[in-house]
Amino acid sequence: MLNRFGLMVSLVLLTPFLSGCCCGGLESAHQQSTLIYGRGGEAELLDPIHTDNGEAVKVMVNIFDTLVTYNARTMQLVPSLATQWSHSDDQLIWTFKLREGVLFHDGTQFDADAVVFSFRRLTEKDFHWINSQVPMEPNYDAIESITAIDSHTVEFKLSRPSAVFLENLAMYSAGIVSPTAHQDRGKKFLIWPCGTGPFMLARQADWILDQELVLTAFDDHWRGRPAIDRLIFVPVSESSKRVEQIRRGEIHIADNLPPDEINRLADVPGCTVQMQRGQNVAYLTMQAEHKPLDNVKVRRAIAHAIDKQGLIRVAYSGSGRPATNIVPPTIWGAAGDIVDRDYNIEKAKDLLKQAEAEDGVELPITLSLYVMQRERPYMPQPRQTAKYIKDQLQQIGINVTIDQKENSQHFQRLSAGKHDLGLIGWSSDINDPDNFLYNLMHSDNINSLGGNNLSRYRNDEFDKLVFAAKGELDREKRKQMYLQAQRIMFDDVPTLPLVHTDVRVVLRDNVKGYKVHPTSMVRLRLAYFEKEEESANDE
Amino acid sequence: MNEAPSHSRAWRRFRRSRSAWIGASLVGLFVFAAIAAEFVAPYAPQGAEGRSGAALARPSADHWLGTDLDEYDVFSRMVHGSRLSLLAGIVSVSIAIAIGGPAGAVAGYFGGWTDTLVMRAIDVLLTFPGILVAMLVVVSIGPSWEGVMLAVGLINIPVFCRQVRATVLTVRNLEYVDAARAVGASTPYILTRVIFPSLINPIVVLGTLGLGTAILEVAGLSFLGVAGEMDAAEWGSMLSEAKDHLSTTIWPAVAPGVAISLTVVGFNLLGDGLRDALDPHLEGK
Amino acid sequence: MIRFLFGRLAQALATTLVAIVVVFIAIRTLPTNPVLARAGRHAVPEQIQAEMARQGWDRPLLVQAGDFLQQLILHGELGDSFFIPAESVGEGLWRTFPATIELALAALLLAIPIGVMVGIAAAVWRNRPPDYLCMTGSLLGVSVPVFFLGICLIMVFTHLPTGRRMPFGVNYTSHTGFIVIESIFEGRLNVTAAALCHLYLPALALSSIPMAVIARITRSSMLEVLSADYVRTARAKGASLWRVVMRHALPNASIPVANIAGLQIGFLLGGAVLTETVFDWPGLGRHLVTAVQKSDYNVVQGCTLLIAVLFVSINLMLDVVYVWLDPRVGGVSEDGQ
Repeated sequence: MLNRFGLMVSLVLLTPFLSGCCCGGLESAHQQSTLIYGRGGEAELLDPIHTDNGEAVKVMVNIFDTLVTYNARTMQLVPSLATQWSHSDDQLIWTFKLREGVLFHDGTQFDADAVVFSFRRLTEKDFHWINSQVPMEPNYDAIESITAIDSHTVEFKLSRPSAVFLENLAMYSAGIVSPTAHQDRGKKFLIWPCGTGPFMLARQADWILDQELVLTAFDDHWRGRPAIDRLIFVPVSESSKRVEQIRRGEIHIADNLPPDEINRLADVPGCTVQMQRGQNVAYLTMQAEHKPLDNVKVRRAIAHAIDKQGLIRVAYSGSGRPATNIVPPTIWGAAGDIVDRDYNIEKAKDLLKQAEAEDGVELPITLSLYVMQRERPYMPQPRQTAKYIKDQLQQIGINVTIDQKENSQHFQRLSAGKHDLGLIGWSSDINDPDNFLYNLMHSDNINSLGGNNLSRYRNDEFDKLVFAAKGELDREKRKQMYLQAQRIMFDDVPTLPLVHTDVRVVLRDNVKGYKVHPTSMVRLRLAYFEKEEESANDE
Repeated sequence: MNEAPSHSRAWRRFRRSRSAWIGASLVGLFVFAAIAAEFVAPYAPQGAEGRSGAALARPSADHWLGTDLDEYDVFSRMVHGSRLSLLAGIVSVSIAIAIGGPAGAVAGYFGGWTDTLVMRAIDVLLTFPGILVAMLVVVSIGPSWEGVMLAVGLINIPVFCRQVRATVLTVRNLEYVDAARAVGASTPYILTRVIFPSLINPIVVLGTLGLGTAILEVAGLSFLGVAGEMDAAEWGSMLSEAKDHLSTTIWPAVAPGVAISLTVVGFNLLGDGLRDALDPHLEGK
Repeated sequence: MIRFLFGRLAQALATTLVAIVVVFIAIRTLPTNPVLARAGRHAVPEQIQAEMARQGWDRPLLVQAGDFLQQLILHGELGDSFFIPAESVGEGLWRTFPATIELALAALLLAIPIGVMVGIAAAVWRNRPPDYLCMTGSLLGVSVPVFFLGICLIMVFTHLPTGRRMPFGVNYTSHTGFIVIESIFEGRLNVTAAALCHLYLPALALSSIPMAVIARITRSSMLEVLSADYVRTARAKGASLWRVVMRHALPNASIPVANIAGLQIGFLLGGAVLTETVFDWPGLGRHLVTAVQKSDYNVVQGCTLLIAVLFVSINLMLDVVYVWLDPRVGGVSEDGQ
């Protein structure tokens, strides 16, 4: 009888081994070339003006085209949907010639009206908005009006000269949407978008939230049909699972993996690691309105006490570069000549003692350190980063209590200035220092409801320089202003730049033609499978 | 049932039970680890001095269970982790007893609308799975260890409340209680002096079993990441951190997982043993 | 009998309502501004205030709670998800709920037969090695945290897929969300097999506790029955052990087992929260956890409402079954069958 029981129990327990073969049978059903992209999170919607979620951006840049775009290698602006452009002498009137014969996914013609429609949505309150949140609106506030001159010419009128106007046109939020589809689909446009890009969301049902988002190659794309037939984005929130899946070849590209696992995957046959120096920075914000962080000596002491190399070893598995400035060296205008403060515990302690003697700072200091829960591209292991900084500061007698919150709560608490110390970072939207220095450090951006100047840094001289640079059209003059501003900032240490992370993704060997982008953009138009592997795939 | 087993008899029964002994020694082991963590653990579980300089190292003579992602010694963190887990378990069970016990006693003794009120409140608590209630509580009062203990205490109230109420219901009309009432003893006196002794055994038994449950729930909450301060050595959060690096080394995940399991096994065996020894009638509840 | 049932029903409704209001207030006391939480780092302050006003989240809590109840009771409205603006709360529930139900049912289908068999084996070989083995197993089942068990299963069964309901890129559109059941009805058994592969590990992990509890109950009630006179007689007459167990002992022991199995359904829903997190299972539990993290008020309310209704109605059904089995519970003296 024991045997009979044993047989039944083991039959049930053995099901997985027996059924292993069934799973294989199903996948061979489709013959198309399918590229599967595994990522850590899910997009919540795909309307370019209504989101700034990085996971949505990854998808949207494949669905929408912009008027101009960056050349991935040179990071120069090159034509896309606009073939040429010119501006008036005062740079207030910009005229764009549009590409002819471009089709939207729904079959309608791309023309000046579509451009006007898309930009009016972006800049005019409530103009065909399907949601109340338009996060990128302020980036386009220099635009006064947009008019269609003829069917393939548009004219932008600016209210003031803007050095970043053209750059902003290359951003995903300025993607051109099909007005017809937008009106037909109404609210569903949020999850069933329609643009001119190389891939399209053919049916609304192709996106099953939290499961998979299936894009189909757009046959009539103006640059030619992409090589991949189907592009599937799958959210796999456990990074250990993405590691396992890319190892087994279940997915073809995986991003946001734990750095130590990437190092390990580099040795796995069939996997390739691609790396780019990232346009990002992870930094430690020090809330200057809280004592004793209002004291510059204390802030400098903290800067001396943190071993950035050690941090990169522990929390980034060696994949990153110590940051001196908030502007990454991959962006023009980064102050490469500033020499960073050395890691020096004694100096740090001396500075604290000075602060105590001269300014009456009370020692020992206890500070809160806010940190996010889920990884970000600039901070793959937030917990480890926080713990490392805590341990470092402990050495100079600063007690740190770590407070970890869900990412969305984390940022709003920092923005409201509740923290003493906070770990956060920034990935560039556009290839311009303004994106870092104005957004993150200008006193205009101190706001408890979402302001990005988290350190509440106020320095008139810095503010003037950065603001003036916004409207300065001479690149060289702008650069000098930014260098000057960065020197001031380095002296004041309102935030401590920590690391510029390398952007690393893991690909299967047979995926070719894809190049990881410094801003973590995922453009898969040129990706294709190498032949022999493809046939092996179909077996 | 009215005749409580004498302690020597209970002790004899307990002593004879092999599984109770295994449970007691497991619990003893972890209590010892918690009290003497500084002496047992070879390294500091956190702080700069505990960093070994190598992350995710495999087990070696220096680090018996290897090191974790933060370069800390896994064994030392596991030993220190028993402190927080046991503490959280004890505090939350105490909260549950402190609230559930009196509520159940009052409900059982007075009956009527008091009973209805208490039992309906318990019903509201039981409208959701416990772990969900705990999660909502922790999140809304702000993640912290105190919050976790409070939440786990809260969701364990029904167990004690119901047991105490049931015991009081059976005891309140027994002769010796009637007798006390007849000689004019006050209600508080009857509850605390006359009825209370008969509540000790069930509470001890359920409390021991409840410790196991509470430790599981605490670990579950910190595994979900709602527990707050993350640098403290705690089994649930150790496990949730280690699960992303299993292909590198399994020990940082296995060590806390085994520790939780053994502690809970210990409390379960000990609780079963105590039940068999103290109150054989409780079996099957 | 009828009065008793109506009483219980009214009671259940009232408790659910109170619980929902408590959740409503609890979630709104979070120090999180949901609009800002979604807007993130490109938040525009004016837009945020406008949205708070539009949603009515800047009004006093009790006013909001009143409005919510009115909406819910009069119109059955749960509102829209705030984080996924194109999805209503109902759609979100419908997207995730079938996955949880499939998971819970699968766990139960694993737990009951295995638990019963283990329990029988333990009872038949009482105090012998099989008994020790089974009881150690069931002790571990209730003691090993489900998330650790999940991790162990993932480590051991490396060839099994986890974290989704179907393989990537399968063009299978499910109309009901109950993939396994639906594909069986459609006769697409390869889809069923694939879905079962994905379901297996999470279900196994989730089944550990009910399996252990069922094994224990089966063992103790079997022991009771096996020592009863009529069983002894049957044995003495030369009936085989197997026959006695199947014909006499098991049917009699099955009532308490059925009770416990019923109770476990409720616990499965709770256990699903952790299991779904470990296995990335796209179910209701994870949906709720994410919504809590993001302070997506409407979704939290929708999920808790659904769970509460499920939980309460399961308990209600169990009550009814008890009354039916044992009329004395309902205070009814007529035959009650």
